[in-house]
Amino acid sequence: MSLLDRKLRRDLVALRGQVITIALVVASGVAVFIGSISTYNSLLSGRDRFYDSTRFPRIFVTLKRAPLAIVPRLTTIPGVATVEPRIVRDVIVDWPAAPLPVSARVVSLGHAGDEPLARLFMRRGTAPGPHDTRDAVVNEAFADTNGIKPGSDIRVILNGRLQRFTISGIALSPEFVYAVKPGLPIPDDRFFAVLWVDRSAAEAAFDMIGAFNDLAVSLAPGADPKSVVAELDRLLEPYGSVGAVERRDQPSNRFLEDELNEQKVMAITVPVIFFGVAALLLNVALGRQVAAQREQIAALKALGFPNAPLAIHYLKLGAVIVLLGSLLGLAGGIGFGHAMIASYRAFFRLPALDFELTSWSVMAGAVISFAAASAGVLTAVQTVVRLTPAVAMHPAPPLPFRRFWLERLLPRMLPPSRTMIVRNLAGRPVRAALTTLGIAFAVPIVVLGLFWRDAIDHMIEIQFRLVERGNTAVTFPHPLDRNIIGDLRREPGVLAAEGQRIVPVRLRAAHRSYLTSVIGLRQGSELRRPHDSSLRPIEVAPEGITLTRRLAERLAVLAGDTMTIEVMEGKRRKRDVPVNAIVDEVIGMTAYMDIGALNRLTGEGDVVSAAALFVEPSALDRLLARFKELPVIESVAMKAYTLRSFLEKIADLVLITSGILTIFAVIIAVGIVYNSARIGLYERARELASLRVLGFSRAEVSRIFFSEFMVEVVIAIPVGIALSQAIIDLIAHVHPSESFQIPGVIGARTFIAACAIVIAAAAGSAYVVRRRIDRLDLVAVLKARD
Amino acid sequence: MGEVTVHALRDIDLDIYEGEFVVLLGPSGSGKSTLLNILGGLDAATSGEAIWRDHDLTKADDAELTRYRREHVGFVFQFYNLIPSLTVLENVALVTEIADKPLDPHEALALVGLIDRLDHFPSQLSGGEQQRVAVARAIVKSPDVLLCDEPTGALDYDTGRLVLAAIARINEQLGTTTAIITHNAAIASMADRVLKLGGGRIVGEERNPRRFAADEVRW
Repeated sequence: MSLLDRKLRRDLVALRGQVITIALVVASGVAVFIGSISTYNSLLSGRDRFYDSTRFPRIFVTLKRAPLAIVPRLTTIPGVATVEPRIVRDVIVDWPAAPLPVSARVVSLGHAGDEPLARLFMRRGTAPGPHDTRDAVVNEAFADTNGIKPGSDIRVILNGRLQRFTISGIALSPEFVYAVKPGLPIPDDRFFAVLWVDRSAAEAAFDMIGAFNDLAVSLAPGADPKSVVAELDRLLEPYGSVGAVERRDQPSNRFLEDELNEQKVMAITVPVIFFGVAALLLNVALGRQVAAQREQIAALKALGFPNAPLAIHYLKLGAVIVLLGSLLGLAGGIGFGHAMIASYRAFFRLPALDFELTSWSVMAGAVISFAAASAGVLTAVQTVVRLTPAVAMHPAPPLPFRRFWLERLLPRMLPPSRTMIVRNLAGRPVRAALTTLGIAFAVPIVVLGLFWRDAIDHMIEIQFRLVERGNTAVTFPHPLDRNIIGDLRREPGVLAAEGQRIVPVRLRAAHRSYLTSVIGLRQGSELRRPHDSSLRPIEVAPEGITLTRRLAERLAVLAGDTMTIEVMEGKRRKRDVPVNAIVDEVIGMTAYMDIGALNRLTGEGDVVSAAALFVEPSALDRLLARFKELPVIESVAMKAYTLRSFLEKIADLVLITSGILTIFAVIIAVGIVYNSARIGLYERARELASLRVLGFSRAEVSRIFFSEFMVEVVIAIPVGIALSQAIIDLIAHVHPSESFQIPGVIGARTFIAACAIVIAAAAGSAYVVRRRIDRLDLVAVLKARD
Repeated sequence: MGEVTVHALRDIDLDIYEGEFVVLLGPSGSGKSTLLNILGGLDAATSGEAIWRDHDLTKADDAELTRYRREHVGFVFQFYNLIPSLTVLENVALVTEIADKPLDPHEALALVGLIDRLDHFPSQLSGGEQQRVAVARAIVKSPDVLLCDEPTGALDYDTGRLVLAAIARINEQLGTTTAIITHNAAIASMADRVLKLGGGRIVGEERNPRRFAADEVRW
């Protein structure tokens, strides 16, 4: 072992406190980087494998009824590979245990589950074979939530008749990774099931012999989906097609995409911020460490060591720290990724979701860390070797302290012990700024973990206190005369009821189009009130259409533009309408019209198809039970309740993420404060010992020394809060979800928690260094030459 | 390497009287610095007694020693140990923050002849000037004891004499008990009493019939 290597080993032992804290910072950066990227890639490949192996269709069409005889014609559309006609119908499930009506989507099977498109992935049991009219397969999410096993019975109301199916199997389907109940923005597995039955059973139940009302289509490689959609729409319009949609707008896939995009944002923004901070800290901490060895470097140079071996020696110091950090980070990243994937498993209904380490992320993490370390080391070494050994062997010249301009603004006679603090900060402005910035960045890292709760609360607040102000929503099986609303108002416990007309439409603006629903509202509607961006309620104009912001962005229209609305049911009318206003809602992509204008457009008279109710909470259970009996009620939803329960599911995920990020933020804060304090102590040991000799107590000396850090922390906290807001705004801005929009809202409790954690971490590391101040060897320090 | 117990001092029996000017003379390793550190409450003797007025310094804990230094002792060191971020006046004023009956910092600086450099930072001063600031800082709290460890060790002849003159003036004008340790025998002529140390013991003691003024000292 060369002498320099022996020195390296001893330096590592002597600097163990710094080595460990810096390595931990590297480890956190590498862990978040590797963990997030690998998790995202694991989710993507889990989805892709599932979609591939189950032959997830590219295009979906819903129609009224078409004869199977036209299927051969559809397969000749250029670009179409496979066409699978099906019978799909929503039914009510007789499920007495559930507080809300449970509905199910019945989907016909033509090939005993081994469908050419959207094949079932059987978890347990088997799918019903041809002509088996008694068995059914249920989706795993519903089965798990409701304790259904193969052999259980399930009763559904088919065309007014109660029919019993025996569950023969439990399956996953690429079409229902999320089973989203129509009319709800998010899945609620308690109240929505998917049942697959043999085609013969569906034909009999829905009187669909020789016919279909749903089509799944796959495309030949390189085919243009747009032209296929157009052709399908043209051919199927006479059969009541609601319009073909591409995979991206298929509800389950859209929701899955939104979730993945959210992960992508988190997988990229968080590690980038984090890694940036870690790299900066590594750079600064190692740089200072080397600078502190100035006299040693000079002495080695004077002894004849050339520059290169010296630089390599210090690079090795950096490399050991980075290697240690990267190994810890790799282990941490794998653990982090496994924890994330485990919490995702309950959330993404994919057959196999395993953590797969993305190998390039490991390499990239280590290389970036080493580059940051090397930059810090080389800059510091270069500064020293550029000096002649004679100059370098002297201690660094004292800082050119001078009166700081700010002092003039301070009280006239600042005590000298305070003046020291001000001048030390002002004398090293870059260092003070970097330390402050580093501590400041620990705040948004904690906030990133915790802010989800605030965002979710805010989202619920906006959507369910301001916009959807009823507590119950019901839909009717078909449009009804508005007198039904009067009947609903007379139900016991109903305090308010308002009719709505919800119409499926395709909105078109230039080459863009989107399938959604328009909600028709009466003037002065109280239970559903669209709001503008400043949260002021706005009235829907008597003519024209009002769009939610996300929908307007998707269609690239502004208020004042004209767009085309195509009704996808009934007489299927088309009309150009002006865009009256854009409203800000956090959930869904809806459009609003005046109910009168909408009914004129559809030509159906004064009808309603849904109602928003405000029900006295104590009367809810009784009313819901009654609704289950009423044939006029197709579905009942309590959206706020649904959203709450859904969000509880992601609570685990939020907890894991915030827990891990908080640990890393603590590591960052500790790394910065501990290392700055150790270097500061090294540089100012004489000064502090002098103060002790002059009669200052340990506490007084520590107070003088740490006041500098206190000032830095005090400045860092508001900076950190501002940084947090900027980062969260950025995330909210780039968050590409169409299901719901994350608002850039951070609650006071999150800020308080984040600041408390950062301050505690700083105080803890200061305490460790303080013990060193208490142990200062006064005599030895004073004997040393300046 | 095994632990070797080294006795820096042994069999020391010494009285220093109030207002006295004592020089402790000895070569390197004679134990004079250790003696001064014990007298100043920077170090504790492993055995024996060190009594200042009615305080036993050997039995005192860190807090008591700090209070002793704070209230009664002024130090001057070979390497000045000024606070680099504070001006001359501020370095001296720093001590008045913790002293009960301090002098005016201007007065202390006048005593060492630095009244015209109040706003300079240590890095802008010569070694002799820095040491005179250190002396002013040591006396501004009006200590009962002024302890100086090689106060001229890092200075040239002329500036060394300026510093010694300042120390002597303080002893005469304020009646501060003063002890200087040095290996420079010439300085001994300024003292009331000279103690010679060697091998950790007092090997000689003499009383000067007349104290020389600083400008009479030659080396």
